[in-house]
Amino acid sequence: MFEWLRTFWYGRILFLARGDQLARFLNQASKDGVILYHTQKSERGMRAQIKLSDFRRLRHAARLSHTRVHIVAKYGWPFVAARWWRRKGLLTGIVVIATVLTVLSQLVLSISVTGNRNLMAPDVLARAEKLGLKTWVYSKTLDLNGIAKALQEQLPDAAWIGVERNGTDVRIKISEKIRPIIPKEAGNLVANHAGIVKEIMVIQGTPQVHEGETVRAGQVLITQAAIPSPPSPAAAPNLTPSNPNSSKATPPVTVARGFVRGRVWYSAEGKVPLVENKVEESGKDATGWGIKFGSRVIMVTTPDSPFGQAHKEVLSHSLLPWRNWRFPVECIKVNYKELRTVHLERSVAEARLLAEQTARTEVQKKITQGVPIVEETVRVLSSNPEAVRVRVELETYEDLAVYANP
Amino acid sequence: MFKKLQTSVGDILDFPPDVVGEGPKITITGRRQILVENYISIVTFSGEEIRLETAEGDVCFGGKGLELKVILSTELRIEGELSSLSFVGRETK
Repeated sequence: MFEWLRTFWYGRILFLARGDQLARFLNQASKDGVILYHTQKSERGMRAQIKLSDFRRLRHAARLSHTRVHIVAKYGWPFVAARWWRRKGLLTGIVVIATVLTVLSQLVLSISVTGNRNLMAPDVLARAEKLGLKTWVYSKTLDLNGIAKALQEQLPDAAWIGVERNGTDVRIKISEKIRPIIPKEAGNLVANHAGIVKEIMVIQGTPQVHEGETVRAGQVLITQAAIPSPPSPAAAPNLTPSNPNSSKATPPVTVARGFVRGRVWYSAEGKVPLVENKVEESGKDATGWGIKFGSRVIMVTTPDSPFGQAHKEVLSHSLLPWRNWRFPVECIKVNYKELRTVHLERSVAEARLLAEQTARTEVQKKITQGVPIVEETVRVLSSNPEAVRVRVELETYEDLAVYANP
Repeated sequence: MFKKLQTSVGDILDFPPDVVGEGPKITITGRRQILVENYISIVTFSGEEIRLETAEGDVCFGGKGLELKVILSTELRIEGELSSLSFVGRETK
């Protein structure tokens, strides 16, 4: 391999020597310090190869031995380079194309939105543009995680937003919040949660509930107007929702609009035993390195876990990845974390505190983000002597009305 | 006289013959590769026969498709199907 590369780099000349004193020619050439390769007799004379730099030194031996030298072929980088150098236009074109491709591949050329059903893609793209994600910007400087986080904050109807770059294409993936699916109620405002209505403000449509009424999830709160009345251009800005950051799709003029605020309750339970045998990490760990070839694994260090009970984590490092090609040999790192069984005995107060914390964490996951908590109640449930059960109840005051998903 | 002295000293000191003598060193690997060191000149060569001049007389390699792979001033590499090797000329004393 290296021999071939060296030959290519220095350049070779294949020549045909003709004359009566070929042996003398060879002896004189080697005396002059010229190295000949692949010397062969043929019907027309003698064929041999020589380094490009030695070719001029061959003239002395050829003159002394009355040998005529004809070049048959030229091979190697110096000849390729000379050929390219003669075609400066082609060379410039290649350099320009390579430069343009390199520069273009660093830019964002297309942005797409996927996974959205009710959220409008142009609206998402406009918000992303304000955050710096637009076409023809240098993609490496974009903080995609930051943009995804900011978009999620701006779009409350999105449960999750991920921004992912694949070459020059940036894809905004959206997972929308699941709203009550009531096809026949499309355009109506329905209750997102069960609760007690405390305040109704109807902008457009007919209210179906009154203040103080208990509503269940999915119940219609405001129906769309029976007679559609297109808004005048002057009145249109007044009809937009009060929250400018709301991502709710601008509904047709006939859909219901308004707010229905009320009290909503959330609850969760936590149960903690007084006596428990728990498996947890001891803090000791060990690392082993190995090589993976296909499905075959050869561990170089720490072939087996040094601990009796351990959590094993295998990390694979692929060597020299290039585009979609991967080197077949992978370097693997195995982390062993020792596990130990801990016998825990808690007092009733400790168990109650822990159960309360667990229940509070659970209930916090259920409530709508950003809504004010009006009241919190912690109840210890009648428990058996082996465990403590605690229920945490939260009361919030929030907007109940959402559009039903068609 | 000097050559004789050189040989005697070499024998006493147990030097290998390729260090002391002026003769060629021929290394044959299998049937296809021959390395000749310390030759003087090429006398004739063709695909069937290569004849080299050395201090110990002419060395003649016979075979098929013989090729001088690399020619250096003191070293020669031959490749091809070797069938015979013979020394011609000067007799050893």
